[in-house]
Amino acid sequence: MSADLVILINILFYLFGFSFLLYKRNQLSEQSIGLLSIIINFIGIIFSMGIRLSDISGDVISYNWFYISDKLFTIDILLNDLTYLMYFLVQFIALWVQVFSLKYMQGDPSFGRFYAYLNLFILAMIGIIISGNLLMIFMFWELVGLCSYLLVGFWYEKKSATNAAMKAFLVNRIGDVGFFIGILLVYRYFGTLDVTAIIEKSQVMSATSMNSPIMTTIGLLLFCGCIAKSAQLPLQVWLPDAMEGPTPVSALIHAATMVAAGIFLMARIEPVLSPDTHLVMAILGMLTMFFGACSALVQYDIKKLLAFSTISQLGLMVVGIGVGAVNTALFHLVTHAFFKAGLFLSAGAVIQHMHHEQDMRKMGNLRREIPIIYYTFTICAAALAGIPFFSGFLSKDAILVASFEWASHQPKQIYFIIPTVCLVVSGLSAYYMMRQVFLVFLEREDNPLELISSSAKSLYKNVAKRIEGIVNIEEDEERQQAEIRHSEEDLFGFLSKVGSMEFSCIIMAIASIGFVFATNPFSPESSWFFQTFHNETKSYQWISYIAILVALNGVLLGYIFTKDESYQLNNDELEPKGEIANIVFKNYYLSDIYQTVFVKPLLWISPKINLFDRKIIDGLVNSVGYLIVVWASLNHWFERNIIDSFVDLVANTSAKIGSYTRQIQNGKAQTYIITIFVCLVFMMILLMVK
Amino acid sequence: MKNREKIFNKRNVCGQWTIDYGLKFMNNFLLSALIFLPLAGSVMVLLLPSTYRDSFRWISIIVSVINLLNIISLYNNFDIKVSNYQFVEQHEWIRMSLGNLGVLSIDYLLGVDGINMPMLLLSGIVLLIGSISSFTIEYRQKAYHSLYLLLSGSIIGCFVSLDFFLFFLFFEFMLLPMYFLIGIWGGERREYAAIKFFIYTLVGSILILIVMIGLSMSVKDSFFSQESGRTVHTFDFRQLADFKNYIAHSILHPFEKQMIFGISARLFAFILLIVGFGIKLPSVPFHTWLPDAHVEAPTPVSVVLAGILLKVGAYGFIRIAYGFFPDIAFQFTYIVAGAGVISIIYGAFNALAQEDLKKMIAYSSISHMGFVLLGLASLTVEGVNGAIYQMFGHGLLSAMLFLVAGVIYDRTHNRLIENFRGLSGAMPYFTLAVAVAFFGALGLPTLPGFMGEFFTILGGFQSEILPNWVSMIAMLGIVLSAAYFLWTLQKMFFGTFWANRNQEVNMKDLDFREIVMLYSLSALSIIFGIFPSLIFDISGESVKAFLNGF
Repeated sequence: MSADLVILINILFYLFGFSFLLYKRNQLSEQSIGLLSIIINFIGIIFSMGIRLSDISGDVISYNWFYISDKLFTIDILLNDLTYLMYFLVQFIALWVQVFSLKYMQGDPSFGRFYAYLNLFILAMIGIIISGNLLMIFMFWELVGLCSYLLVGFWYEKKSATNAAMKAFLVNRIGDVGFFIGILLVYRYFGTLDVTAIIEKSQVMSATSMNSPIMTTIGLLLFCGCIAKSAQLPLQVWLPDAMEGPTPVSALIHAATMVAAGIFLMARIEPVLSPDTHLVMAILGMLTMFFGACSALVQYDIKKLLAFSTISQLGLMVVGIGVGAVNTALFHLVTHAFFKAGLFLSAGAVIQHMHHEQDMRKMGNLRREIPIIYYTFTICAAALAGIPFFSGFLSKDAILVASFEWASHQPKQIYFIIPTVCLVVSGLSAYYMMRQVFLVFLEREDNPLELISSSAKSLYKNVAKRIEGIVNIEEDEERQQAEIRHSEEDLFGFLSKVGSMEFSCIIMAIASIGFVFATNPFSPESSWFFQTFHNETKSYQWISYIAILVALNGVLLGYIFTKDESYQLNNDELEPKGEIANIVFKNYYLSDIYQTVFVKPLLWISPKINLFDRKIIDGLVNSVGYLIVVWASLNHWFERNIIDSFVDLVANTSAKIGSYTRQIQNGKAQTYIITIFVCLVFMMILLMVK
Repeated sequence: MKNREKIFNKRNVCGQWTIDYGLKFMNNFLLSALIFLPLAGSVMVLLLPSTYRDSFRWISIIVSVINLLNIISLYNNFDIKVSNYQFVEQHEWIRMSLGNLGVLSIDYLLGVDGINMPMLLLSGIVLLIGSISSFTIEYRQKAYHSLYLLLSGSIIGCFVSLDFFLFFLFFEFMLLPMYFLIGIWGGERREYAAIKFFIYTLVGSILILIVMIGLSMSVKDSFFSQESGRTVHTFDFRQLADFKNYIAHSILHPFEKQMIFGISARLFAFILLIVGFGIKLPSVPFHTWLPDAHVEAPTPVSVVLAGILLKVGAYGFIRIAYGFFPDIAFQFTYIVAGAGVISIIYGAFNALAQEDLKKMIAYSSISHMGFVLLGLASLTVEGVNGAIYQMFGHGLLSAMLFLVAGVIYDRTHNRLIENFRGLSGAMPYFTLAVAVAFFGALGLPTLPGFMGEFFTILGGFQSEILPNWVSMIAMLGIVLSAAYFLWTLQKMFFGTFWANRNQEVNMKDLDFREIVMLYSLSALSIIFGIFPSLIFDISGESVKAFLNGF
């Protein structure tokens, strides 16, 4: 089977899953819905691994789609390593999100609808990934927007949820308009929408034409799509609100589907971007990273904090692409996908455990109640914070190195601001992750060193026990048997505690450990990722050391400050104290600003325009009609009183004359004589005058 | 044995011949059948006694189904590699000597090419949906269905006629049934709406009539003129579109210097045409009849009005205004594109302000028809093909949208958006159809609204004669349309279920008839949205030939 056929079948599977589940959502039991959906997803994963092994790479498979007169528009399937990677990643994360949702969404009346939407979401995302031309990317891009609308507003009876969904869709629409114009400009100046052809054409361009204003415009417009989808600075307002959706959806949106689409797009078309576009991206990414992290610092909502951390991490990826380290940014996208999915799934488990309480101040000491989640969350948090031995360290470090290298090639020293800010912000991320872990899972009395040593001790004990058991095989069979039995019991005991939710979290946590990605957890170059994808940068060891230092500092500070903070904040107030903290907490009032600057005027002016339409334009039409009616009645009056009365006048006059003359002929001789006499006199006068 | 075989063969040949001949005969009159079947149906409904009241709706459905099947067979046999008119039927109709001026020749001339074939297909679909939707009409069924069939016949006649006189005849004839359909079966202010619609459109028709007379006086049929030795004035679209046929020193000759009100006669004629068809389209500022007519019209009439009648205006723009006056159209690009963009934005703003669902949809129609003007004005293959696609797509989607409004109105006799909340909980099947219609109209890919908008705007960008910012303003309409549709969706369909004046009981989900209408339109929307080649293949060659004139 050729790869394109495999992909087609895969997409059809998801389409079937979507339509079938939507149709049968009320008939099927929850188990069968979940099972069907997971099987479809699992088949997809097998396919994704299959096509990686199969034949071609770096190929575009085209089908004719339609002609517009002579111009051909094609369905292009672009198969390269990036496609394979994302193809696998999206489905892998989606699988565990689906497994997680089995338990999380249990008992929800719209269970089937939820799974149907998930299928559509995966389909749309796969569509973006395999698309080889901008038109197709845009189509699936919009479908992803639709899915986010459906899933964020999943609980449609909640006003806040539907508001958030609408906001997400509209904000994305605004970005899409920019993207759309970008596509149109690409078509105008390249004559094609095929991504590979565009890249080829841009590679043969001279440096000056590459840096021409038009190329920058195209690049920036295409970047607009990414700004909205991947929640970059002016348009990031939708992402925190999107937390209204079910938590597994948040995991999917933040890890693999929605926000990843923007980064993926920029990575796909990076060779087209002009140097100025790169610079803008780096600056905007840096700002997003900084402001997102600042907002994350003061959140109390367990999910909102994660949302802001996503914004911040996406900013880092955009910086990565901006400094030209595309593959490094993608590496971060991959590692981020795993640990962010892990964080959200764990957070979902916490929320479930807390009976849908999301305020972190009301949590604490959950370490004892849900230990598995505690471990998974902490591992993923450590990965996000950039602690060595975890995956986040590898990719974050690589981007930092790349950005420092980029800055050193720039003409002015001022460019070093970007990597420096990134470095500082990575410290902030360590701070807020530590704060979150502390608020949710720990108590004030907990001593982190003790915790680490105790967990290390128990780990050591377990391992030692196992080793002992293996070593002592010959010595004491019976003891060994007992040991095995004991460990089996242990295992089953452990497994019985692990439901589908915990299991998904564990998988994500395992995927967030540095060894999964690289043999040497200190050097990104050793990772399998950079064996496939060319690594753009050389390693600067000193930056890694500084980064480690910054991260550990962040953790330490986070621990110290949160320990004090956790006491002061026992009130139910949503907002933190202090003006700056408030501004940061409210996401810089961006939503309110947009509300007053754009939405309110729009809603103010549209009734006015409608009034104008009814009163002026329609009024004009009506008054023309009215004038004609008035004119007609004037005519009528004229006809009645002037024309008709003239006719009447003639008739009346002749009648009057007749009645006078009639009196002459009344049959009396006297009258006749008088008449004759008068006539004679009259005639004589006439003759005399003549 | 041999003999038998021979006979058998002969018989077979005979049968084949009969079928062939029959098919040929049928093929020759397919277009006429499309027009006259509904007219015959109309007469038949009139002749049947009123006691047969249940049969009337079935007659109109059967007629619509046969017509649709006919149109589909036409569509299948349509040769996409040819830009000329196909299935042409030509019969001499009126020959009138004008003394010194020559001979006036009017033909019964029908045919389709890539520009009106999609419109024909659209009419077939929408008229069938309209006739199914007419099931709810209980009052004076006989008159209603008779008028509806009359309307069907004249709409199809308008699209397929290739003689200006015939076109105008059908164009005018559409008004009459429409006037009565709105005026008798409409809502509260039906008389006002009907008379406004009638007079407004009639004004447009008169402008077109003036141009028609001018054109026929300026054009001679080159073939017959030579043959008969006299000047034969013709109304044939094919002749009118060709500059060679213009009589030297006639008033509308391209190089003629005669002036009317200080502008050249051709320019004047073009202005008359864009106003005339602009009223029908409708383009801002000639649009105000539309919200009134739509709001007052019964659901099936709204469906036909928005689904097809508006396209007659757009079709006239392409075929007549642009087809016969390419030189002037080229100068008018800014004005036509400007009218399109203003319609898009202005319609969208108005739609945002509406509290009545049907009015909101009516204004969104104005907004979406603006894209047609923009695409046409761009004079690029993408733009014009996109405009044709947009016409088709909007036909499907607006039909759906008005059905949606009709579903709510039928249940509650109320259409105000604020009177409903959380309908999705109570009416899931309905909500799915609404979602398809709304998202289609706001331009979601895989539904037809997207391709139309994409290619008209793409055409605007590709165009050498239009600056890019014109199309960029049009993009604002895309954001606004998302805003008003989603807002309506949120206000009416999300939240907890509630309907004003204790109407909750009435809010039952779709019945079978409504499911058939809404879901078949949804399916068609998705099919045409994913496979735009179904339209683009048809229109491609003709549009290319059309653009060669510029």
